[in-house]
Amino acid sequence: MDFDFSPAEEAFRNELREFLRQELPDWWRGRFNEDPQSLELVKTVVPKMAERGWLTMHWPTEYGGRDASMWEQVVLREEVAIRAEPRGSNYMATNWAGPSIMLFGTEEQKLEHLPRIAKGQRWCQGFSEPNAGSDLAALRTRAVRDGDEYVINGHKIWTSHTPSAEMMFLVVRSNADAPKHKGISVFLLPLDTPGIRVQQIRAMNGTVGEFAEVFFEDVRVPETWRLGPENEGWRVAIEALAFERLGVPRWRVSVSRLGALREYARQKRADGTRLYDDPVIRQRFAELSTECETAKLMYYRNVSAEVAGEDTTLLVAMSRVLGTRSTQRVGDFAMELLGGLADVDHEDLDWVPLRAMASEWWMFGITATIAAGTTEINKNNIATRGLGLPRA
Amino acid sequence: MDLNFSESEQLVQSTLREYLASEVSSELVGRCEASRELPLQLWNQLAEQGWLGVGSAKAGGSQSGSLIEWAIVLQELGRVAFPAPVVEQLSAARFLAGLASVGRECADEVASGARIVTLAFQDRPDDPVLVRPTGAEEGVLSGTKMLVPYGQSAQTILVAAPLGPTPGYWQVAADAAGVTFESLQSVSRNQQTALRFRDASAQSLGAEELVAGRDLRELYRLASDAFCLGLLDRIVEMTVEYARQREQFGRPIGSFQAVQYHCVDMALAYHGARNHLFQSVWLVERGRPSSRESAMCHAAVRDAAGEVVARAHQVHGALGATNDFALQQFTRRAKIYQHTLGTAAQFREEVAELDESLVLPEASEPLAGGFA
Repeated sequence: MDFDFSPAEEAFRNELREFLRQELPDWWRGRFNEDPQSLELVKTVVPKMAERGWLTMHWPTEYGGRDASMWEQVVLREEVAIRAEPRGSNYMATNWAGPSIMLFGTEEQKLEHLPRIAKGQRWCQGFSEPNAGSDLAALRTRAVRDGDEYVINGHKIWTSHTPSAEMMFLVVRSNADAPKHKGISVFLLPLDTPGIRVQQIRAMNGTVGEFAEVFFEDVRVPETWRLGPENEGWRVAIEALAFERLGVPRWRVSVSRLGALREYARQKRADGTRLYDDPVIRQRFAELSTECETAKLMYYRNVSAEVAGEDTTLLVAMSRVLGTRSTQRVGDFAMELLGGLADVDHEDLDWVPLRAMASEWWMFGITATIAAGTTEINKNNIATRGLGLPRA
Repeated sequence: MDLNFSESEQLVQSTLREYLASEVSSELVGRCEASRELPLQLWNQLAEQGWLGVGSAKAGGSQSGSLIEWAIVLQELGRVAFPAPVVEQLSAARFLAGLASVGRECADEVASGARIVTLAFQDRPDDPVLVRPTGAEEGVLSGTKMLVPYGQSAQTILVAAPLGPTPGYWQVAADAAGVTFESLQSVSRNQQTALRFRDASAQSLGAEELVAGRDLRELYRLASDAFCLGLLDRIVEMTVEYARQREQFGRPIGSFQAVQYHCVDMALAYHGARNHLFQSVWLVERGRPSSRESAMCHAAVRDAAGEVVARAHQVHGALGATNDFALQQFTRRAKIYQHTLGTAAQFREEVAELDESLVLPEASEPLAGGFA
């Protein structure tokens, strides 16, 4: 066992952290989907990261990567996560769209997409539909063959980052008569293809941009945009998601937030006392601090098993459940700690950024246990595939 | 970074697991509980195979396994609810091996299992153990210790008692004049005793040290955590197995999501806490600062014990509450470990203290946005 990062990994962490400190201004909050200024920043930062080889460092050398170790990727993921993901939606492209194209793409598709992704192209994921969420294979968006083209009609929803993305990794039904897992195909298509309409969804925090609905009306796409064999898209999608097993190290963001809350609680109030001296508050802090550590260790154990080539079915699901749980619990705690003041966002108040953030952490946290596989789906996987219990 | 066991660690685990599975039955555990005797033949076999000295330096100075392996051995013994003072023995062996003051012979006899040891930490509040010094490294003890496991089977007792103005440790022979044991009925049925000293001669083992790897109290906590995690691991296994076999409404109860989620939450609690243990032990082995990680570990193991025990009983229904079904041998012990040598709340208070006093990097990080 070894619980240290290597000196080279630590050096990489410091270099990356220093780069992000220099590149990201104080106002940066990662709102690249709704705020034009933030998207512009993404567009200047990402090429600089590309120049340094950071976007595709985990890619094989033959595709311009350098076969970076899983642990270097962990370092990258941790550092960009606590700086509100300055890669914008490019991370989707480099993490799994690119690797899926390497695996299933034709030579032409590789030549067309991989260099662009490596330079910072932003992608989104056309998976969920109004009636296909956890039961993804029930998707109904249709692709009907017409000569050497397909005509796509349907409706995707909850597609993250669509407003700022250029390309979509789209999963559709290409054979309505086959069993549901056997009639699916994947397409790689530019979002400016005629017939695509993106409608932003206003989130409960009042912002738009995190989610969108995407409507397809007689969208004609050439056969050459299909990734992998026709009607074998389920396998392609599953392999694509497998590249993203590692996931965002949410626990690391939770640690960072908890650190900010601790600094807040340590301030002397008008009556000279500190929140952090309240034994109940101290218990809550310690409980969450320990939960974050538990989630971190599970994340690292999952990576360790992955590196060793072991089956990670149980670990990956446990890691996700613990990581997303930490997001929600720290968000809830932020609201609790700030009390009624968490309700307002006014510049005359002390700790204004924290007050505004607390409610945002809570509201965004709501989707933490839903997106990319709900906690219940993860628990079902732990129960049946991890522990070997019979299917419900 | 690598949280996998090495090949030799895996070998320790699989070898010992196989051996214990063939030798230790719930009938044996039940017999030892009822008779208040040790399974001496098994103890001697474990000793001969060197398991009781894993993690303690040998006479020649050569290491006999890492502290990670020490924790694995304790966890495996926990998986069978081994009915003997193995937690105390392995804590003592590791502690004595690191001391200069104690005779090499004593340390070797403990590590080899030839001399059975127990530990006495908890004072009877109205009669705490006090020491009257009689020489540079000798004294006589008076007072009463409660909750001394397997007291009547031990040949040597290591006692936590003052050394001058500071807390310290003392070694007492179980057959010394002025030492008497009283059997206590206990939930854990680990042959609890109250231990009474009346001017009993003792040898000093030095002051409590704050260095975790050399401090008996901290070693005892880690060893208890490891044994407790072994109990929990086995409880999770037994519960999943039961949920697969037991049928109601014409199907296994393990196919109902309500029951599945009990099992999942047990697995999450166990695996989460288990990772903390190995991180702590790894740091301790290297003499690195570990108080924050160890406090988190102790809190996580205690919380996991509460969670796993409660849900295991819910899944097992009435059967789990009977004496004939083996589950109780594990849950009774785990429940007691949940609250001994410090409570989860106490360790969380330590975490809160350390999170403030250590300068953690996150204290100065920019506010992370709502993205993740």
